[in-house]
Amino acid sequence: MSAAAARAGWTLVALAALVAPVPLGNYGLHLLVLVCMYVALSSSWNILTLAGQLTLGHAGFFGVGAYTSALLALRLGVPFWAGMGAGAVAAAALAGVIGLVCLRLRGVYLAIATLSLVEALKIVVLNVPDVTEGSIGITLSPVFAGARRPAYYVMLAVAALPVLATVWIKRSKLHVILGAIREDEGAAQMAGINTTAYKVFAFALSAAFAGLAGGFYPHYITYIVPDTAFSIGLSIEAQIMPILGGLYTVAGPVVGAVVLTLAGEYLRTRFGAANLLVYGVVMVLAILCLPGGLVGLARRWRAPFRVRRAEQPQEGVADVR
Amino acid sequence: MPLLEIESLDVCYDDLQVLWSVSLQVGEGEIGVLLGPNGSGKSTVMNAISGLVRPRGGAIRFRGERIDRLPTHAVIDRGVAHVLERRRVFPLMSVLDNLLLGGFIPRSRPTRAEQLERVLGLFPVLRQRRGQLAGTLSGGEQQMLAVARGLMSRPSLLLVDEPFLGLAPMVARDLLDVLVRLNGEGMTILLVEQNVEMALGMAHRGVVLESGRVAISGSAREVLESNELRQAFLGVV
Repeated sequence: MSAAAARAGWTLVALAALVAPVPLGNYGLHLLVLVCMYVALSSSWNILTLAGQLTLGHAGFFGVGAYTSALLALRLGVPFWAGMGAGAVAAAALAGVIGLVCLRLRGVYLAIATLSLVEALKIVVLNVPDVTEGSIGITLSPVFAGARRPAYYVMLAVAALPVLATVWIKRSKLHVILGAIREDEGAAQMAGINTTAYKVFAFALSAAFAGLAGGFYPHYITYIVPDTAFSIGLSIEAQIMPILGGLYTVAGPVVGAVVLTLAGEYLRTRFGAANLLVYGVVMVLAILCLPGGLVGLARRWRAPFRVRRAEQPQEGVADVR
Repeated sequence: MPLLEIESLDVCYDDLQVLWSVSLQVGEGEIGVLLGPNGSGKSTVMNAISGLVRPRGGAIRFRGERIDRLPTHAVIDRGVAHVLERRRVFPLMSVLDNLLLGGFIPRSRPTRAEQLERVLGLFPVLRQRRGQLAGTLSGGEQQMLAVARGLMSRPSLLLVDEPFLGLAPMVARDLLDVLVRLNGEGMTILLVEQNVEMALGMAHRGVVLESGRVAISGSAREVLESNELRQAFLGVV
């Protein structure tokens, strides 16, 4: 895709996102807030995959952000925006600690650690009710006195940050460094790259954006319990959306999140109890038939005879300088 | 003082010891060659030097400084380049990106453009193919790319692990010539190789490993003429 066309496309998306809430009622606005939240989760999860690392517990960082922000508001009356910042920092710090332990190793260790992290955090939060209110959950007063339009714009900003961070990575030399780690970590080490440091950095960045989204969530929904904050389902959606949209790309996680959030909602109203079955079949077909995701499909459709990766090296050349 | 000095190196993978008190030296400007049958621990020695595996005991010194506790990127930054076994180029990146990544470390950044010209001069075929994805190169070209990428960091010690593996004899010859030429310009090289005559023909020093222990060590001529060499490789006396 030419740079000019890409810029025009993103400008249109940004404009549409800014004016979208104008004609919508409360239900439509709520749906948009959810779309933005999933864009934030999906796009932030994708950041670590740029370095070839797989995590299976993105909800853990969302939940840490949510509980940090909710507890600060409940106990100390901290406003939502400060709580979001604290949530992002807490999530990044947790990722940093886990990363320093697990990212020294290659292979499945990080995936296993993050998968169990979500369950472990949930159990911890459930078992110290004096601090976290346990299974009763935390109730907060609605942010912006329940007005959905400003809440939407906050969530839109939260969604834009990981997308912009991905664009920044793609344009900086990080693109080549993380790509080298993804393709062959041993060879990347041989190039003198401190691979552990870069992996931990990408992990902390990825977690921070999930924590940020989590930090806003309880203020918007007004209620949080461990089951919604630390939910395996949320982790899985954060992974499936970029895979469906197109891994390692800027647009893929965004497209995947928009399509799956809206499709999930449609299927729920259209098929009732059978919606998960349809959702599952669609996902299986998509993964089998679209190895490059929806973004890959669009590229192939536009340029059927071009070698798909032919443009990538050129991008990379400019990046290293 | 030798440029690289390994002193009674022990390396274990978990509880399995694979190197037993291995000692060797490579002097400045020399070509050293590590020989030995499969599984004798040649690559492990190389990986220990560049910090990919941690030794259990012994010492590795580079210019007199202990490097056996340093992380890999720090070893590379001190002037060691390691061309890994089986090439290991980044297949989905262009030849040029592969090379530029080789010049990633801070020490080599200021002279990267110059260094790029130099390695493209050594391997003209890479200049023709610089925009191409590395994965689409032939085996020989990938091996040249791997060596060229190692050279991009301006190393004073080049570790090369089985560079001629699976190459057509002509291509192997070209690569050998480049290594000899580099050595003529002052580069110290430690080579792992299975082809005994070819390797010892170009080397100053040879070390033969057998089951993780040094079987023979000495000048290339001494090693070539020793009876133990035949024993180590063929199991005959």
